[in-house]
Amino acid sequence: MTTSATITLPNRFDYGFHKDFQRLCTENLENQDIKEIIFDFSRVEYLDSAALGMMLMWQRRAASSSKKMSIRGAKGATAQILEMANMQRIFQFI
Amino acid sequence: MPAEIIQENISHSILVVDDDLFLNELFCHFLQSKGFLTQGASSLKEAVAFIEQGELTDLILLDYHLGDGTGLNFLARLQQVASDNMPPVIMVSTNEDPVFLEDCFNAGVTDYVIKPVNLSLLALKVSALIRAVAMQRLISLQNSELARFKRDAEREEAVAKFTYEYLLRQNNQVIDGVSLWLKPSSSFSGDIAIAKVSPGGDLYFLLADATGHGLSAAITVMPVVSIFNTMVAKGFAIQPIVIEMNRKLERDTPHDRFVAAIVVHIERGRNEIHVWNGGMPTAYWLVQGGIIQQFKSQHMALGILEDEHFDANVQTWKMTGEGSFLACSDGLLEQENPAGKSFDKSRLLEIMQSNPPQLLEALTAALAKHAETDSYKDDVSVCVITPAFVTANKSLFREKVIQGNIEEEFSEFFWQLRISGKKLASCELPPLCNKFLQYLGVEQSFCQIIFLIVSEMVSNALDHGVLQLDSGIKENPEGFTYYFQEREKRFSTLTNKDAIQLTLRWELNAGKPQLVVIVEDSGNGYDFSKKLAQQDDLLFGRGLRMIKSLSQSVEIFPPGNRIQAVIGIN
Repeated sequence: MTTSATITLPNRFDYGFHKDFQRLCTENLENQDIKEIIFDFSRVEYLDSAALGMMLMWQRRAASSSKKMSIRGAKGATAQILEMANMQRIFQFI
Repeated sequence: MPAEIIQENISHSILVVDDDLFLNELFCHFLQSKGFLTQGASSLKEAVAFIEQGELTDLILLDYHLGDGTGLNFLARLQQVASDNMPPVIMVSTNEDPVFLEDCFNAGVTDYVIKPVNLSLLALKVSALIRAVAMQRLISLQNSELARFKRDAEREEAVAKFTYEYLLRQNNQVIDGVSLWLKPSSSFSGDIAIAKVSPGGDLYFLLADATGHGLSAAITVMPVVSIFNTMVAKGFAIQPIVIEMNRKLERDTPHDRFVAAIVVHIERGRNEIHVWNGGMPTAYWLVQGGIIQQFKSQHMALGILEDEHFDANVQTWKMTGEGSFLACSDGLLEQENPAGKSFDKSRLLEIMQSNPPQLLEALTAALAKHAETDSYKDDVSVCVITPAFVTANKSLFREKVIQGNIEEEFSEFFWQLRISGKKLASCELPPLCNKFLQYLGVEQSFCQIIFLIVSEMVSNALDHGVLQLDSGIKENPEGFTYYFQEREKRFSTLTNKDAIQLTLRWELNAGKPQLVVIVEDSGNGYDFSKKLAQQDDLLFGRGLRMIKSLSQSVEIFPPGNRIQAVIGIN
């Protein structure tokens, strides 16, 4: 069974969330039991390229330790921005 | 308060009427020894004067033969003076004739004692009558309390009903393709259903069922309705709407009060239906009697979970064919027939699958037939939405409702802001700009896009223009951290010569509205195009690429410290 961890992103997902994001990603990547990290976008209304940058960077880390990263709950303009940035190429939308 | 306590706490007073001064004194003395207050009167005249003064007495011990009249003369006067509130009267006499006794009782005597008086029997009779008086007082006190409670409850019920009807009246937007059926039970018990079209032309629907009934249900429903209205009008998606509703209820209403709700957003552009169901019965997507998709309750009702535990995720369904969405409150499923059997889910499914031409009417008719009454136990609400029939106009500005008329307006504006020096570090331009746009009534999803564009332009101007940071540092997570540390460090060197200017211009271009965003910084200019050519990785120049894909046109003016984006409105 695949064990997954969910990281709930804040209303404004930008550089301000960097420290928490780094901590949460590190914790989950170091945990051997966790095979998938899900980013919950249901609360996100504002995001910027720094946020996307953080996601891409950590996705590389995850890939190198054979872990999957997925996105869920993105709606409206948030979904539009994620699509525009081609995030669906490297993240699975669930 | 029990009668015993009243009897203990209050000393009862007894009026002793006897023209024999010795006996009068004897009775008074004896009754005082039993804990009563006494008042003696030795003639009819004296006794009448006493009651005419309005003096309170709980019991009257009345001798028949008074020097200046009889006990019956006194009783006649007493009935006139204290008709509503006659104290009990014990007649004292030597006469045992049944006709005489009958006359006495007819005149209002409660009990009778034969002379010579047996004092212990008198004491028992007095105590019994006093107890009866106290009980009578308690009952009339409780009756008036009850009447007051009833009046209060009726008043509250009226307030709840008014509030509920007001909410419905205010929010009753008639929309093609949306059929609502709301049947409040005798007293309002908390169901409300509202459909509303967002500025983007999408249909939003709310069906809520609050705990309790009457005023307490109305109190929790009110914020839910007002948040729904305000946020839909501003173009918010479901997720921030339910987060706000939950936060407000959790914070502002008692913990045993909550609101089960289903919130629906039909996104026409993507042909998707989004559903958030917290504690309501399963909703359905139906195509010609076939149940294609179920929307089960996946969340707890609103107002229970603290914000950080609340899950706003919605269930999304790609709409296929000419289908309809059906949602109902538990009042439908739980309505019992006279035999006590509820109108349950299987009955609902059966009717849906029979694919009647008018689903809503078929359901309500079946319910009435089942219940054999039209006065239901709980509020019953049913809603059917057929998205294909929903017609709504898109507008980027939220509607302005003035006495039922929807008035849309377009007016140009120009907004410019310049920030310099250390303030650049602490003043966040994008949220400021966002607040301004929201204040003007620009639709939320458009605000989100503008927010992103402005953020990217401002952070490029600040980082690369003013602070002259090289984005190449951000190659890995550590570089990322380093980059932002370096950024913090350079903030401290800012002087008043360092500045960023943001301009927003909302204008018409060939009849179509557009927003022009210009950001200019005091730096020497930075060349993006060169960087973009060097790197085709996703990690670099993403900001600029995003600005480009979200805008109609982007222009960078030499030496590279001024950028202008034009955002068209579809």
